[in-house]
Amino acid sequence: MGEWSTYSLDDFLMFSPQAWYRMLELHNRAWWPLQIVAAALGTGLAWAVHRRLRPALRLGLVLAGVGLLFVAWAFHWGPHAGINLVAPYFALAFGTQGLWMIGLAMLRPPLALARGSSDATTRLALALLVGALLLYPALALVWMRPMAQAEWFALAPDPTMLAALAMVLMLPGSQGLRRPCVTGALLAVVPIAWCAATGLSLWTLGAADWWLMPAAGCLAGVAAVWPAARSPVH
Amino acid sequence: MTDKLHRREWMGRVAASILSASGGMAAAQPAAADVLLRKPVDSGSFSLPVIGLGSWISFNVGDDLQARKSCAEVMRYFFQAGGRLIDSSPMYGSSQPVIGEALQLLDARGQVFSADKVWTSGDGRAQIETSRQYWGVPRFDLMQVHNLLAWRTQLPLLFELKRAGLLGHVGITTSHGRRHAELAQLMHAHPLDFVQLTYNIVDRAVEQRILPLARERGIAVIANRPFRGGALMRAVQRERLPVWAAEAGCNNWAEFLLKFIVSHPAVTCAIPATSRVEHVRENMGAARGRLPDTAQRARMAATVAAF
Repeated sequence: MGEWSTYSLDDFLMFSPQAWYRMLELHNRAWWPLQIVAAALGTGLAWAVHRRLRPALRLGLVLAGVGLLFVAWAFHWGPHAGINLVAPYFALAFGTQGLWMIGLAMLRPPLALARGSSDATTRLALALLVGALLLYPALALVWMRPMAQAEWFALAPDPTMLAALAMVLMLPGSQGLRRPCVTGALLAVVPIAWCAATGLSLWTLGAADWWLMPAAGCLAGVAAVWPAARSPVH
Repeated sequence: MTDKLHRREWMGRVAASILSASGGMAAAQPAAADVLLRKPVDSGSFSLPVIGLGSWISFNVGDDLQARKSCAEVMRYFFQAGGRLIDSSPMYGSSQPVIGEALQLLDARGQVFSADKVWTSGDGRAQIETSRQYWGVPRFDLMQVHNLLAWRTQLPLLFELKRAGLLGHVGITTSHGRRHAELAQLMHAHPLDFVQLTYNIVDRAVEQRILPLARERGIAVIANRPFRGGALMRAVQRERLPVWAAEAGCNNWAEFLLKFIVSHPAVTCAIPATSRVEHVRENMGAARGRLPDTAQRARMAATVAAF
């Protein structure tokens, strides 16, 4: 305990902010124009959730799951592992979460958003989804970074995990699961842990937007456990 | 680099090696600004310039070709300015392959004093071989047990490799002022060539016990975190460099902080890390000119403590 108290977060960060943002830039360049495809699919998903279409939940679980798998392989296992020794563990976490979400979408009878589900939690989930898919890339401009370093759903870890968290948040209000709250809680572990981990990492890097993911995680956590939030909004 | 080459270089510059051999705080004596300051190592069988190059964070740039090119430029300037010792570790992400690539590009494998670390509880021999392949050197000039990790296993291995001629020298490292009691025990118990530890103008705990012990045992000392990971530079740069700093041989804050470290008679070299040529230029400035004397060192420490 004595020695551990001498460590700070800085001691565990092994790359510079420049290396991190350049990596995002090179990653974007390597996979262009996948960003456009992912954004288009995401927009369609957000519309489907907004309209409470029956396949929206399954579609969202699959899309977020595939996004997580892609980030696990193409980002964490790829360039991120080159500068961060723990990135392969992140790849494992993202991959497992992705497979779990895809598996859930394959269940019979199929999962679906409850008809007329318009409680506060589902609305928050929709807001997080829109944030992950459409607003997150634009944040690069807000924080005065080049658009080439923007973080896109299905390519960068934060918006992808945020979209996954949004879909998980919809599970308790869904039809087709025997214990939707338990399933939702279990599936929220990795996303919420990631929100904390990425927040700490960005804070150590001195990034202005370090608080975004932890804030989203806290909001989602509170919404999931707060019974009043499950009541329909009139 | 061979010991023979070291020795030849040292003999050629022995007149400029004004440091520790005479004992006291180094270098109140004037020294020509264009002469590289070196310190003797291994009972004087060779010497090293007082400024080396670290690679923690700064060289961990992944596959970014542009950043790798910048790192190579830093190394090019480092060698041109007379630098020799470069330090890395398997813990430093892509730093080892970045160094190896630059050494090949600069055709500098014969110039570098290669210092790396073994950082595993497992197969140290395999890890050292992987590191050697990254660097592209025939053998490491110095291999250190990183942060004392599994030293009971790795230290005997390093001595065995040294006896077999597969390593030049053996060392151990620590940082942030951790585990000094254990470090001292190891310095007493084993014929170490080098120790690496944190020493800078504000982190001075090693002055009490470790540095005198190193001197007594003839162990070369590499000082890491000379700028406290950049925090010290950011702190002092808000202030104006004192006018009297020039009398201590310091033309900028980098020289001020580095010359404080390397003017300690027990310290062989400091290893600031940077990915910018302008910074390595400033850092290498600390390897030339005069070094502060005891009184000047005290004034330097008091000045920074007052910020």
